[in-house]
Amino acid sequence: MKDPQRALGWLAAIGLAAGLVVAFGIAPREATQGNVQRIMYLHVPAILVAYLAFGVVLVASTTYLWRRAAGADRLAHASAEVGVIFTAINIATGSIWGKPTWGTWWTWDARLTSVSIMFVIYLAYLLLRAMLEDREQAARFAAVLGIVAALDIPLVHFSVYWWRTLHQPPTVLRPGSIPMDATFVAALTINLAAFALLYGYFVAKRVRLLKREQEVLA
Amino acid sequence: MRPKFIVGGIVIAAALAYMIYAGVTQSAVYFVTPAELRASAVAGKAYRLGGLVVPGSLTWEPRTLDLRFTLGDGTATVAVHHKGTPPDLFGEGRGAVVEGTWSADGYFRAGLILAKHSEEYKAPHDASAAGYRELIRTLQGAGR
Amino acid sequence: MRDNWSFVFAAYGLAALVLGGYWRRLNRRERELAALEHRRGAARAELRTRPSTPQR
Repeated sequence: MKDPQRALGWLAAIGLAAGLVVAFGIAPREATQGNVQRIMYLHVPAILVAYLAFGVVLVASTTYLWRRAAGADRLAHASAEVGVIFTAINIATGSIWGKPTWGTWWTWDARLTSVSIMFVIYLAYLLLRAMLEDREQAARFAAVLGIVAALDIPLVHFSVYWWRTLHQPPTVLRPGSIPMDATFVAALTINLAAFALLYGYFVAKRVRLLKREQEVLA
Repeated sequence: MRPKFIVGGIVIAAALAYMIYAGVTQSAVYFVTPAELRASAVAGKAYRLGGLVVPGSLTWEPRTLDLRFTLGDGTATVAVHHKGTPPDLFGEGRGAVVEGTWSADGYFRAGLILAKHSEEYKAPHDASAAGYRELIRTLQGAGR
Repeated sequence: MRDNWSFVFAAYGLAALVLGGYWRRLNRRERELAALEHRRGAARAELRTRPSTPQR
């Protein structure tokens, strides 16, 4: 029972170590930005995994409303929590990256505003879950919010196309080829895989914990 | 209901309200282009202006920190004056967004300079390698 | 172009802190639950074997 989860944890750890090696040892220094561009290997995988996490919340919430399966509710809860962690990392690293390159820690352009709104909505989701005493009611309300909140995901991603922003358009998730050298793409892919493994590990751990909490505290 | 949740709820609601306010007032039109500013410039009014730093227009006096350049969008240009050190990615031929006011003397007085960069990332020798390939192609007379 | 290594390390350090902190929080909660389960199990076992003895 515990072994697959532990194996996933080790895979994630190896992935993160490999990610650090490629991010600092193999990927070249970027021509215009210099070494500060290496923040990208944290910043971009963090938001892509957050999209994944909130996508899982959407699917699990829909499944819960349809089938009323307690497992789907636990998956939604765990995935939202981990998604919030990765969104926080994306926002914090973006801010640190923005200061030396753009010249500011923060600005209210459409991308930064929409990602903040996404972060706060999922915080509200977690607060709602903690607030409601009745588990059945909490699951039902959270499922509805988990579906509605997903509307903000495309808003975040396409904000850079729909409005004028300081943030540049996406480099990875975009139509056409990626305007980046192959080594950058490889470094980004390895870090993305590591973050996805870490997401899987955290969610598995959190789901198991929620199940035990519900059994013990029932 | 525990007070912790009430406080948390109020904080979240306030944050969300502020962000939506910021989104509507600032993000919807994050910056105006030089052409838009030229069309309806009001002296003393605060704007955020975005465009390309026109090559050859940039001057910087390191001792007085006087920064002067022209922002263009292909149809119109605006002269910008600023006092301070620009961010690392600021430069000629690159994108920039500046915050400040339109001066009655016909230039934009910027209090904050922001560099807007592209979504492209290149290895150090990539640009020269491309130039080299280009050179070889012209030497071979391949045209296109 | 300056390299701004301090910003790079700040970003990676902060991410490590957040991820490590979350991991440790999950582990702590697991241990707390295990301890709670253990206490309950022991209490139940004691009740079964010596129903007449008063609980500590």
